[in-house]
Amino acid sequence: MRTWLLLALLVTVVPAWADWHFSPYVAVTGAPKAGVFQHLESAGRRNLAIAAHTVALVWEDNHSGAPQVYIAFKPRAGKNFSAARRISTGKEAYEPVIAALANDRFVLAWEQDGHVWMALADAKHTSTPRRVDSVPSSQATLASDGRDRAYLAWAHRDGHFMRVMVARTDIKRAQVHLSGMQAADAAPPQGAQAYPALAVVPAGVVAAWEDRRQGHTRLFVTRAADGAAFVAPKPLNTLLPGRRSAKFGRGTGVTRVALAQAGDQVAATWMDKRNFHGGYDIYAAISADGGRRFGANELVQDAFGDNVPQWHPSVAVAPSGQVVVAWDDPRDDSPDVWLSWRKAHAWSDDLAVPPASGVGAQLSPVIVVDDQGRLHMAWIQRSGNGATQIRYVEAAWSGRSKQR
Amino acid sequence: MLRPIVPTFKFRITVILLAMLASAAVWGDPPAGYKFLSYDQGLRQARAEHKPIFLYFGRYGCGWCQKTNDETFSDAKLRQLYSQHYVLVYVDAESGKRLTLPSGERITEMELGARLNVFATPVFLYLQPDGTPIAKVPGYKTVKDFVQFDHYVHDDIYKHKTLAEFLSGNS
Repeated sequence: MRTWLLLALLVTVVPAWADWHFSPYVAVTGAPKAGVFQHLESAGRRNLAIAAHTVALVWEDNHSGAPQVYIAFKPRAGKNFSAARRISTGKEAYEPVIAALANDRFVLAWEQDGHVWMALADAKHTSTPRRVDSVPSSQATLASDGRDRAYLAWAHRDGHFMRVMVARTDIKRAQVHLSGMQAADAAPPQGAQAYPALAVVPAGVVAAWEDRRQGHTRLFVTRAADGAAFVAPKPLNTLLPGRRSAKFGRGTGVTRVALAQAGDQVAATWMDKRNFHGGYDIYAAISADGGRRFGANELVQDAFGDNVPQWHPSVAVAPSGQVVVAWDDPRDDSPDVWLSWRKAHAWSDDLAVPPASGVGAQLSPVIVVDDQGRLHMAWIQRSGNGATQIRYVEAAWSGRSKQR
Repeated sequence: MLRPIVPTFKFRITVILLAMLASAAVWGDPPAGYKFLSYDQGLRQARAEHKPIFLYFGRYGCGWCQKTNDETFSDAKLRQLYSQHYVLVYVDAESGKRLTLPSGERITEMELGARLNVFATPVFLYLQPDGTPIAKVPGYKTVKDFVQFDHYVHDDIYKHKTLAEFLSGNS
C-alpha cells in the first residue's frame, strides 16, 4: 500500500518538462558582439519553417551597419546551421517571414525600404527578390501547407489607413509570383489594419489581423476557399461586459495575433490586456473546422504569470492536433521563454524552457511542430550588456501524457 | 404657430461627422496643446537642448489615458510647466512604428514597452537627455501628482533619492 502511495506521489511531482525532452541548444548566429542586435520579429511570428529535410530560420540584424534580413539552414538530421546568407537588397530591411514548400524550398517575404519584398530560397540559392506592392507596405506574413500551396498577407497603404491584403504565391521558372490578390475585408477600411497572420487549411486560407475600426484594437478573422473571395470577417477576441466605459475606454488592449494549423485544426494566440493589472496575458482560441468557427477565448498562461506582462506569443499545432504556445515573461525577474500546451480540458502548467531560461534574458520565441511531432524553437538570448545571439533547440514529446 | 426644428439631412450628416471626428481624435491620443514628438525626434532634441524627456506611453482606445488627458493635462499651468521643463515624447504601446534606442538598436514602439516593462497604459517615464530612465509612473495621475514628479526630476532630487523615498517624505 505504501509503495503504491509513494508511486502515486512521484507521478504527481514529475515536472512539466518531463513531457518534452529538449536537446542542447545550438547557436544560429556567432558570438554576441557589442552594437549588433538580432531580432526575431514578424507578423504572425513566422521566422522558422521546416521542409522535408531542411530547417530554415530568417531574422534581421545590423551587423553590416544597417538592419538587413538573413537566412540560415540546417539539415533536419544535422546539428548546426549554415552561415548566414543575406536576402535583402536595399538600405534597410525588417521583419522577415518564411514558409516551407515541396523539394526543400522556402518562400520568403520581408519589409525593405518601405515595401514588402519576396523571394524563393533553398540551401544553395536565393531567387532575385521582387517587390510585392507599388504602394507603401509592411508587416508581411506567410503560411503554407508545406507542399505547393502558400499565401502571403501584408498591410498596405489605402488612403488614410493601412489595409490587410492577401494573395496566393505561385512558383514559375524558379521565381515566386502572386495571384488572386484581395483585401482580407472587402469593405473599405474604417480604421488601421495591421499585423496579419495566416493559416493554410485543406480548403483554403484563414486570415486574422489587428483592426482599429471600433476605436480600440480588436482582432478579426476571416477565411476563403482557394480562388474564392473572403467571407465577411468576425471578431476573434471577446470583450468583457462592462469594460466599455470612461474608465476602461472603448475596449481593453489586444495585439499581435499568430495562427498555426494542422489539417482543419486552427489555433490563434495573441496578447490580451482584458486583465490589465498584470499587463498583457496570452490568450488562444481554437477552430476545429478550418476557421469557420472559433471556440471561446482561453487564457493560456498559469496563475504564476498573472502579475507580470507576457510578450511575443508564437503558436504551433502538431499533426496530432496538439496546440503549443510559447512566449516570454519576466516572472522570475528576467525574461525567460515559457511554454504551455493544450490538454483535453485545460492548458498545461507553464514550463520554463530549460535551454531558454535562467541567466540573461531569453526573448521572442518562434516555434514550429514538424510532421513527426518534434518541436523546433528559436529565440533571442540577450546578455547584461545588451549583446544578442539567436539560439535554437528541438524537443521531442516524451509520451508521458498523450500528445493531444 | 412655431415650426418645430427639424434638422436638415445635410445638417444631420455634419453633426454625425463632427461627432465621429471628435470621438476618433480623443481616445488614447496625446493630449491637445502639447508638442509631443516621436521617440527619435525627442531624443535628438533632448540632447541638443540638454533637457530631460517626459515619455507618455498611451494606447489607442485607452480610457485611463483619456481621463488623464481630460482631467489633468488640460490644466494650463501644468501644460506650461511640462512644455518648459521637458522634451515631450508620445509612444503608442501597440504600434509597430520604429525608433532608435541610444545604443543604436532599431526596435518598434511596442518593443520599447516590452523593454521598459510597460505593463499598463498610461505609463509616464522621465528620462535623462541620453535616454537613461529616471523614474516610471504608471496609471492615472492628478495635476498635483505631476507637479510633485516635476519637482523630483527638475530639481535633481532623483540624484540622491528614489521616487518612493521622495514621495514618502512629501506625504
